[in-house]
Amino acid sequence: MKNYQAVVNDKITVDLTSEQPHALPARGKVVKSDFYRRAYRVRINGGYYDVVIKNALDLLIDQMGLAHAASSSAADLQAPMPGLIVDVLVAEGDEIKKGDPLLILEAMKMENKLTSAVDGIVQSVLVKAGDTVEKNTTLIEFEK
Amino acid sequence: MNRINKILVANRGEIALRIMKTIRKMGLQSIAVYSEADVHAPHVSYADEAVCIGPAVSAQSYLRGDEIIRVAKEMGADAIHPGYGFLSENAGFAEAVQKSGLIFIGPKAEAIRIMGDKLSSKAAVKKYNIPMVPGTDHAISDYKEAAEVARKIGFPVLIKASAGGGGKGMRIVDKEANLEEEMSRAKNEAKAAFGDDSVFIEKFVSSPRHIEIQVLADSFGNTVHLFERECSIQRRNQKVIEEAPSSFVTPELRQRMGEAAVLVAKACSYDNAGTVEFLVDENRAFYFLEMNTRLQVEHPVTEFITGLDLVEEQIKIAAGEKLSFSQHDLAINGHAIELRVMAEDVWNGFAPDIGIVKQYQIPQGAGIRVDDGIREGSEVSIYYDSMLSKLIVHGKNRTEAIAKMLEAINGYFIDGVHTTLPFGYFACKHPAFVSGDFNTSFISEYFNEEESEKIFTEQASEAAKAALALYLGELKKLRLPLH
Repeated sequence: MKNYQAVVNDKITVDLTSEQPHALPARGKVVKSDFYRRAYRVRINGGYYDVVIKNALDLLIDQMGLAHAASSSAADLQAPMPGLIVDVLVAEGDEIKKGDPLLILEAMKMENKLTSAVDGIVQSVLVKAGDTVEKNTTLIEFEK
Repeated sequence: MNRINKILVANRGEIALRIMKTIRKMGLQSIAVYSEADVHAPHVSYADEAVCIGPAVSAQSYLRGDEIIRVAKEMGADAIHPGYGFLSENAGFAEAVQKSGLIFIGPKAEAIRIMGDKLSSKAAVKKYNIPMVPGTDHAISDYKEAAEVARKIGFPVLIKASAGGGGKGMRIVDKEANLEEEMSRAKNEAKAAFGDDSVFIEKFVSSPRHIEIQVLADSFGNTVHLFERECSIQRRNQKVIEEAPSSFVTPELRQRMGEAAVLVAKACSYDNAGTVEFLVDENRAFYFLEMNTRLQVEHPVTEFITGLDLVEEQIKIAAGEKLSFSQHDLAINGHAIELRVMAEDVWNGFAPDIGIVKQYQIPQGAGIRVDDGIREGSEVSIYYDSMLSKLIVHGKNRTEAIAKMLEAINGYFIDGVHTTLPFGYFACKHPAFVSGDFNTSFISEYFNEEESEKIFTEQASEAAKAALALYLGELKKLRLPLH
């Protein structure tokens, strides 16, 4: 029996063993597969899920923390969806409390108010009103 | 009688295509207008003729009434169909179309003006004794006045764009501390969406049902109603699932609401197709909300249960024909349900998703209808609203319609953007939906962050297992050592 982990939609991690797939036949239908990257797209109940399977080596690398060395601080504000920056409500050096509004992002005709997840001081504002941003673009960085 | 041979469709996406299909069925000619972003859109290739009217941003293309009228004249159109959204409820546009000598397929500008403003619509229907929700009877832009009104009618209150529709510029405020900020957001949204930032405030009736009545009126004063649509399943005050008839509406209530809707139409001398929206509380008391002076997104459920083609009726009415039926000719046949298929990640608070549609397969079969505006290779961009298509099913009763919806969702594959299809599946399996015992808090109650997370985790595990099973199978086939 081998241990695996699967990351689904970059959102959650599922622990699996090599025995499970046989014990429980899955309902999903795989619509796309990339064997070498161990990346699969699975269709269930009208939606699809992107699964990346991690083997023992991947898990070891994750444990050593190498994969996260370059990632940004969790507190930095990233775009939760693609859209247009309507308004930036803070400036560099501002002191922010958790829950304070930081900027307004419009996507598909709806305005979304993005708020701060932490208390902190704004180090840099990377966008301005009128900019179009992709999902996960870092918008505002906090002092660490 | 006004002759209509050629119709310009001033819209995009599924509704433009749906209107053109009826135009073709009637043996008439269609003209599409499109933005630079929509060069390859299905409504452009389907139309008999197509004209580019500007860049992607709606304000410089689909909202340019003057340019659209100029194109219509130049191309020899007789009439303009506005669809829904964009210019459909713009009285100034309707008036300009008429002044230019063209026919506007919709009501008269005056009716749009009265009903388009939530305050004047209330004033117009008042004399017919139609029940209404307490609130302001004039537009407000000053925060102090808003606070005063809100205090008087009591929180929670609803802020709505006076010129609004489709849930845009709408905010629920549950305490005074949030009023100022929410009001400024609502005003900004209203300004961006409708070019008018006046808002009004009314009491927020918690957990009501949202039920609307379709009406049709010709220019000879004949007005009928085509029964109700139940539209209670909403996220961000925008509908996701609609059905007809409503399992909550008794024959007696249907008759009373139908009669009220006809009176609302008469209050503004309405002609063409329109919808009167009501809130219905748990005691089956109903309140007039607004009248939508256009074709609704969810009109296909009414078409399924009445056998009528509403776009065809609209065109005939605009051409000066009389309605060919009266109220007693109309009856409800079976049950229809519509799911709005929107490019949204339902596991992430219905956040908009964009991308390229890489694969596209639609379900087929008796009683299954797909009104769509995308094809394989279509780009879903941030410029337009997130609705890709509508999946509509018809069964001889509600149980059969729900079963058909589940089957159709399983046969509908859109790869490349996340959609609301999995939410439709969830709803059709949910005991509250199946029993018919639900209201506008369905999503906040049963599909909130916590609940949807649970379902997501369950389905993600299933997906992970399916992927691992395939991976292990491939490993074996390739005879690579397991590592």
